[in-house]
Amino acid sequence: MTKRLYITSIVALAGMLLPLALLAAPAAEEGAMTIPEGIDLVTPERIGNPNAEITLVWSPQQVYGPFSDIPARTSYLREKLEEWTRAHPNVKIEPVIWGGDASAFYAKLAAEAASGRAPDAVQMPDLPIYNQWLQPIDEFIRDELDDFFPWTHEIMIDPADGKIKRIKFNTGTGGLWYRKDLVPEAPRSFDELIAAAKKLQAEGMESPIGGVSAPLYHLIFPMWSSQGRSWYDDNEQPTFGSNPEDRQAMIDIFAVYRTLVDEGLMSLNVLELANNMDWATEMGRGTVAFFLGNMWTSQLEQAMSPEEVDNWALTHYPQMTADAPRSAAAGGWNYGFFSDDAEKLELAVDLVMHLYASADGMAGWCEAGGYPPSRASVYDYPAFQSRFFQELSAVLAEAKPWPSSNTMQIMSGESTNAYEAMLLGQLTPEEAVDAFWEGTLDQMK
Amino acid sequence: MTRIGAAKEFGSRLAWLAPAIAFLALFMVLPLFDVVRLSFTTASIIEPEYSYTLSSYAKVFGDKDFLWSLSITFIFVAANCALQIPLGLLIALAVHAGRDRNVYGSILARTAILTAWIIPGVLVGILWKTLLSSASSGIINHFIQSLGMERIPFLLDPLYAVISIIGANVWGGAAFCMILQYAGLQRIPAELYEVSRVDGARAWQQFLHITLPQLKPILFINLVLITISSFNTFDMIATLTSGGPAGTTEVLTLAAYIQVFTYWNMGRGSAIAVLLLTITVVMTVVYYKLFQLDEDIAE
Amino acid sequence: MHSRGRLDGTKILIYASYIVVVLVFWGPVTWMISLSLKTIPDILAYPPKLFPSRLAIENYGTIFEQSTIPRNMLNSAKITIITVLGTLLVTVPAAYAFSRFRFKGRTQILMAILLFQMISTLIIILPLYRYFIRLNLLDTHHGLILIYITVQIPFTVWLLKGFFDSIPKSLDEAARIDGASRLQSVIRVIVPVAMPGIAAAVLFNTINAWSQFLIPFILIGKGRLQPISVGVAKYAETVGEAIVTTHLLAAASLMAMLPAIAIFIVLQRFIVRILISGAVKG
Repeated sequence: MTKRLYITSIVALAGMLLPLALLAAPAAEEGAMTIPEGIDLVTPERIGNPNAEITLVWSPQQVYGPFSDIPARTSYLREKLEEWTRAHPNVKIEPVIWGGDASAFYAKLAAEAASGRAPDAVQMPDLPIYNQWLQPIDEFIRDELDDFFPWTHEIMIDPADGKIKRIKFNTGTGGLWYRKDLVPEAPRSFDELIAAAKKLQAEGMESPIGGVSAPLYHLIFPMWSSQGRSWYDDNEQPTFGSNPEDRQAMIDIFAVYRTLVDEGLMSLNVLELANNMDWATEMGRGTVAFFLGNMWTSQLEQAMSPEEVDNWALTHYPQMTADAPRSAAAGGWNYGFFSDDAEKLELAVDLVMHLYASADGMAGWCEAGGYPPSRASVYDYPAFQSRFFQELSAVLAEAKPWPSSNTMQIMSGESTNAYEAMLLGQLTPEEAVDAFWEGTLDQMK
Repeated sequence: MTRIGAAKEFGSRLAWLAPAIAFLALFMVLPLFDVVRLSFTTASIIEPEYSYTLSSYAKVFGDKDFLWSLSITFIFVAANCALQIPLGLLIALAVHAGRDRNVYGSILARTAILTAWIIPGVLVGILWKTLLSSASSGIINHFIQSLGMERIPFLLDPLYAVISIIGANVWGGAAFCMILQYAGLQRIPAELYEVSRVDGARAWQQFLHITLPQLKPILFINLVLITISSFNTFDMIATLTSGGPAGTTEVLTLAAYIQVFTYWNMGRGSAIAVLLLTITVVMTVVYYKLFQLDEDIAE
Repeated sequence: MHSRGRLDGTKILIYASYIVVVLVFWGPVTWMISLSLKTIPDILAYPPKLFPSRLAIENYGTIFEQSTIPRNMLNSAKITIITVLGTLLVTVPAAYAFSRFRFKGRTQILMAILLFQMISTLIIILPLYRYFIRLNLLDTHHGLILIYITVQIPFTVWLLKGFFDSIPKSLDEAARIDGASRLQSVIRVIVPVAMPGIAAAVLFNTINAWSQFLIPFILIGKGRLQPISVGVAKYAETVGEAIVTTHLLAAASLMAMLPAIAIFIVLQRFIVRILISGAVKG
């Protein structure tokens, strides 16, 4: 009797799961060139004409793709994708959305590129390692290159052969978000920031300042670059530990944040609320009046009502003194192309330009996504007419790119560890910088 | 049997084992050799050139963070063994005793703890990360505050982060211990208890002198299995703390992963992986020798 | 003997422990259910309430329509079923062989297989990844299943061997006397008798395959091919500006957890019996 019980339970399990498994089998498709009527052109399985002959593999990051849950972005992308696929009925796109652990993705991308299996169009970081495998796209983009801010050329062009290999389609430097209804004048220096925060503290806001938890790009570089320091010396070694002046500058930068925590103006929440959406919700709840982070804006619209969003304004990163130059280090995402088929390459570039990187495309995407554009002419579009964006455009015209090398991963990780330990009170700013330096040397072989 | 007959017999017998051996050889032994080999190189995921050297091991041992990883891993394993096994035993006793006395709800309790066990490690991490967060969805802190105490920054403070990963792992794993002990309890002949009751033994004496000794083999197996699985825990910790704050919960598995996939250093990552495996094997062999159970394997 | 209904100290203690166990082990999941049915204002509300002000079932709709989670579930189901079947096909003969045959090297191979249980996926994942690139097996379910089966083999062989050991050899003899080949005798006679063990193996393999995370995380990059464990983890991870909100994450996690839990609760009696007999023989 018990034997039957066992058999029954196994069969029951299988019976419940089997229909599901059968559903998972994909359907077959056939070839033709016209787009069938009434189908959904943008699906997670396939974008465009299901009967198309050419397939492009397109790999955007999760929140830059058509299947995130950010309505402004997805509706923009959907519209543009439908336009493009209708204009190219012989092409279908296989979306391969990436997300999750970025460094694991970068590692895998490198391994795949080395074996010739990388996607046709991939959203990718600045890391130079890919240059050896990226396809040159000069012929498709040479005319528009000058519209991109000069500093982007350093990233977009491979120094080894002078060919254009990436398209940098958005940018931003570190920025300061602040409640313009509570803070009449945007602080220009940390002293001004502290004073404004203390005032709010006296009025009942416990810890008015929030910030990101990974300091390198958004908390350190803005000040480092404003001071005109370069990250690497001529031998491509970082200098913040070996050069005494640079080291002191780094200690001073770390000390600023330590001060914010010591004075109770920034709570240790910064370590836990690791992503911008969590911060957006805190900003919506009114627990902070300042946020030190990046300039990417759409999370606010998701977390708050339009009236509440209006209370927030974005300004340049505070510096050591009120008259210091604006932060001039900028980053942003790129698209790279790996296809060795000339036709596919052209189509892939055309797709990316249409969605993100032509003047119109960038204007549309940056407005929908809430990013600063990386092309000068886009700042003439209506969405970027505010004083802030116009000032930003002037700053970006003179900016430098974030340092990029194959060891940035290491420095990002080591700086985050040192910063966290310092905020938790385990290390003084000086010890934190030493830990950062030694950790970096340690890991850099 | 003739020699040819014996060979044929052996051949056909081998066929029974062949698929399993093939799988293991291809997808486990070969990669294992490769990991060991890589640990003796300076290979990196992005650099195709490398040389053979002991320097990866040297760097690993010289790395302060690695020594911390090692200690925190041992602490994690020890705490898991010390907590999961007694907890499993207690609950098994309660369920067992409840069945005896027809207490309603023993099945409910048993099911509750088992459902926690079948949740994949990744989800256990996500679950507890939500529960322990400082945001308002962090219900644990809400309870703590309603008891009048201060909020605890579970995922921010190094000590509490370690407590959190241990707690979450015990939560997800205790059911396995419970089942093992429960099975063991059911095998104890009731007569033993009868006899001792006649002799006037009290409940706790029965526990010490009958239950525990009878359970010894199962407790031992339990200890070995929990040790191995705690050393190899990855999914839950990766999602719960990602090794933070400031690397304080970076157990060896995470350290190896970060070396390979974040720092792209295959040499060092493989070295840590090899060390992890060595530690696990050594501890298991030590356990077996200690309890002299190696004869059982040969049967 | 204790009679039903008489409340004594021990009984109260037992009841209390049951209440604690249920709270501790079901509480968290219940809270997740509550979170999954909330709207953003409810999530932000302080103090948090157990019951949402309105049941936001549309959260599940959002996950269903706008994420890869449903597909991830199907993938997990498909991969798990094939893995379990494949594992049985490979391990039943092997366990039988270890149980019944005596041959040179048997002890050593057996010990090796037991030691293999200690090799966690983390240790071999990197070389496997490199092989898969070269063999073009990345982003395929069949490649993934091969690895899944491999990691199940050590434990399953050990478990099944234990069960086979407890089946008297006279049963084999009896079947073969009738002229059946060894293979036929195994299929027709031994396997049915070993059903409890096989059921235990199926159970452990299913749970194990469903829970795998690192292997599919590394070996499969395409979101729509990934199993549910990776799908939910990807949903939860942040890349500096991820837009995951707690209620949607809770809904996604629950979609991932609930089928397993539901099946478990329904088949709970059988499963416990299987687990116990598995534990006893092991």
